[in-house]
Amino acid sequence: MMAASAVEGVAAVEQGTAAGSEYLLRIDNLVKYFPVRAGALGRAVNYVRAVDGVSLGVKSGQTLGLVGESGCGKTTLARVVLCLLQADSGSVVFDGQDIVRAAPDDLRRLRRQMQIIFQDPFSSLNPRMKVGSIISEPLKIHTKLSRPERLARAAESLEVVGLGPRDLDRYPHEFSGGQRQRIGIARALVLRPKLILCDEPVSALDVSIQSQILNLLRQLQQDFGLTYIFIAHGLNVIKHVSDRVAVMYLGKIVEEAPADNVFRTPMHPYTQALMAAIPVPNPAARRIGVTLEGDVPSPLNPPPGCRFHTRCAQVMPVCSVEEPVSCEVSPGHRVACHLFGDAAR
Amino acid sequence: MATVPAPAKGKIRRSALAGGLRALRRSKMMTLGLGIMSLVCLVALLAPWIATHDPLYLDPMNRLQAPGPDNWLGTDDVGRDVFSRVVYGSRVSLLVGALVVLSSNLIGTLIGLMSGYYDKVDKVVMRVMDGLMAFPTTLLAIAMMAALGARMSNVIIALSIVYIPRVARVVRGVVLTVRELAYVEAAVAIGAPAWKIMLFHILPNCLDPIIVQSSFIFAQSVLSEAALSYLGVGIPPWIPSWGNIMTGGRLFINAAPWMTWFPGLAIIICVLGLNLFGDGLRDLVDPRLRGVL
Amino acid sequence: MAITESADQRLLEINELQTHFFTDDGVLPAVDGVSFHIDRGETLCVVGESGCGKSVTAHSIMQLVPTPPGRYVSGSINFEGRNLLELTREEMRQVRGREIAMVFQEPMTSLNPVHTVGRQIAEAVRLHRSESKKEALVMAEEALRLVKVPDPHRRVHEFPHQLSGGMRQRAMIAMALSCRPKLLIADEPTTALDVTVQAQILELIRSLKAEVGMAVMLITHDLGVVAEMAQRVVVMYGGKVAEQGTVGEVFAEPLHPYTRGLLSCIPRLDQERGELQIISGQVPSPLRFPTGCRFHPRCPEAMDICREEPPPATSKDGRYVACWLYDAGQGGGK
Repeated sequence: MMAASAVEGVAAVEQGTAAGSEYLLRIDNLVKYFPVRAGALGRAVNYVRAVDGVSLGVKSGQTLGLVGESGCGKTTLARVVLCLLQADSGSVVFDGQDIVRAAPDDLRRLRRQMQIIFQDPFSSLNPRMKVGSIISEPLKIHTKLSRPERLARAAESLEVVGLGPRDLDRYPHEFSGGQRQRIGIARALVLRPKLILCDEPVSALDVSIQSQILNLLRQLQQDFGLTYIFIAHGLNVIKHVSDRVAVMYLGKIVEEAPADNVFRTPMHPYTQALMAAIPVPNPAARRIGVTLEGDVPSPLNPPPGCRFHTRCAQVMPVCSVEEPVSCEVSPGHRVACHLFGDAAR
Repeated sequence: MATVPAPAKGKIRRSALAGGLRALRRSKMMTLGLGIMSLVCLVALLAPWIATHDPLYLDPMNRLQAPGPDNWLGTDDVGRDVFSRVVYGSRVSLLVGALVVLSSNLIGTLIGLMSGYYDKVDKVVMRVMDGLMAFPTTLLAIAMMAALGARMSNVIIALSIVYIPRVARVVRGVVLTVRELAYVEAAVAIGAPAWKIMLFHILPNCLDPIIVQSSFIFAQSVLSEAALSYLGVGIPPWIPSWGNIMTGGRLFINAAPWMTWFPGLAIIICVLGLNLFGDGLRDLVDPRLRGVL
Repeated sequence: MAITESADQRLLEINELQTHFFTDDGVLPAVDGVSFHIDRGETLCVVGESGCGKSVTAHSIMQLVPTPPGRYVSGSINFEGRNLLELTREEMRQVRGREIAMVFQEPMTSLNPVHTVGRQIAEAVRLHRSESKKEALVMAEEALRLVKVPDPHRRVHEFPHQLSGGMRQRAMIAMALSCRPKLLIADEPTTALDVTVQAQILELIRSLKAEVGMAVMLITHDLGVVAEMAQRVVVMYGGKVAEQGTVGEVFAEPLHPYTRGLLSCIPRLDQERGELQIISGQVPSPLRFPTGCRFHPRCPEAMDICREEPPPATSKDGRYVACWLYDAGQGGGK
């Protein structure tokens, strides 16, 4: 672990990354299971292994792209990192503090630094509150600013995302999907947090609006020195926003690398399949790679050994027996796959 | 994408007045119901001016008179003017109905909010509510009145207890849905305390079903109060209530049927008005609710 | 490329279709003068964003639009020569399922949760053919095998909630194909599915099309899907057709500024990382379509006339575009 970060640190300096070489967020062996209860006494009979030993790091000022399909646990991971859910074990160190075990008062203070942008622009804003109230609510909770001061800050936030102070008095339903997402971004920004978790922020938007929002997020990151964890289910969106990419499958990270590496040389068979599955808007392009068979197994009953082995085109006998350990195949590029186990050793 | 494109999920919270007027134009039921209710309310308010006689004035010489020019709806077995009694009876019905709606909504909403938001509270409290709801309303009310004693305040208390579980159940249902919505999660992420979330984010979204149900609870209260008074365990006999008047008329159904008909008719009209209003309101509120949430 | 248009190659022909919705808040011209055709055995993609009318067009073909508040104001939908809008309800019912079948976006809500999958497919079979219950169930199992559902013998007796999203969509497709329709309309069939499952379903539709010999009308917002699946594409915006042509033509040389904008602003895997192109403005709501050309507020090449008059259609050899840039009178021209 130490060797990896040292290598990464050196690599970062060599690449001339201006962003701090400090880790803003370190997730270590995070586990979150959801019990499935049955019987009159509600005893747990099984567990949904939503997040099963995830370790990740995000550097200040950078964007970590987290990609995976349904059931992979990325949504749960996001909620645990933001303390909307309680982790079962493992640690989440944010700005030097372990937030999993934080006291409620510390937690409230920490919430100023971590905010979230939701996927659905229609249900993420309270339809009965004016936009001004929605955006200034965080200020009301965390600061002692007076109402005019709060509204002034809210107006500022609105302007930064491309809307105007007139919009303070309007209701969410008067805006389009893309505009509502901008309001959500304004709300997340108003406390000037360090980390913003973007939970599929463009999936529910029209195609011609997606790029507007992605560009906006990129601009805001530069202007405010933000760190993003960007969750998406499509690698094509991830490609354009991330500095590092982590691919999740059934509660585990299967591959984690700088964005360029992942897209140039994807190592894990699942990553390759994900990329091959995305239809490219070019009629002349042939589909490279094999279409994955079968469905994503249920996180209630993950396959033994490597969780991907039931769908893997390059499965070997060891895959159904032993879980692969994540190892570094090139500087900063980690893969959890038996194909590379020997190579690293 | 829906088959019917949703009109800019917007136009709903225009001016409440404009929306209300347009609603009335569209729903004849609601308009009719509102009209009837307004009439009843007016009668109750202006009772001292509308009533032709003192409802408590005994005139045994004039007993069991058929409806005529002096007594528009006739007199009862002790000579009291039925018309005036029915007019004053509207006050009782409306008062009881309103107070029952108010208290059952207040307490029921509180219980529903807590149950919907806190799972542990839910398990215990809803069992109690289910238990209460298992009793037929009238029976439960009678049992409580028998325990408490026949007084107007006790009628209100008993009926409130009967309807609290129903309000709680409806509110709990809405809370369970709303608390999963993203904007509630957003409020938690911002660091809002639980009471703020319940008050400002969840409660406003419960209002629509509460309002709709209120009109039905009102109607039911009027009926229940009448039933209780008729059975003698409701409003004490010296206060004119529609149920009481009918009790008196029971023995004279052949001799003086007007003692039973007219209060009965009043009950029918009042409850009909309330139900029509509630039906129209519900039809109006539902499909739009699906769009807004 | 000259296309010989023989009358019996044309399977479906939509002519100036107008489907409007009359609501309290005003008239929504959801489909406002749409014309295109589908030939036998061809795959046509209708692509557009929310409010463009693609879904309403599909529902209009199947006559599934709720007729209050909707109304088929004008135009015709000719299927094998017959105008579907003029058929009686019973005649249309014969067409639905047997000649034209439809698959929807949300397989969970399209399948009845209280009946087994096999029973629902069998129902589709029995509605249009005279098979007994037992025979229909056997055909249902065959249908599941056709759509490559593993272990169809067991699946036939399972309920929708026991199947995954991909399986359910396959079951829907099986139901749609049970009577070997001539045209399959798929309304965003993969939008609600995972990316890897989407790839499977698209491949399935491709192989089935060859086997059954049907035409496919695929509605989507994903240009990648269009490139993979379609032979011809119709681009819709604001209730109207913006551009039409073969997939090769439209992708290589997009004529309408909207198509150009769309192609350049989507985040692509085959593109270098970096800032993305955008189309400015908002997608218009059917309640408030802009005057003149509906795209003009967002068009980088808007001229004065675009604000005032809706653009005329220019079409040549199956290639179609509705834009003032190409109107001979405006000094444009293909």
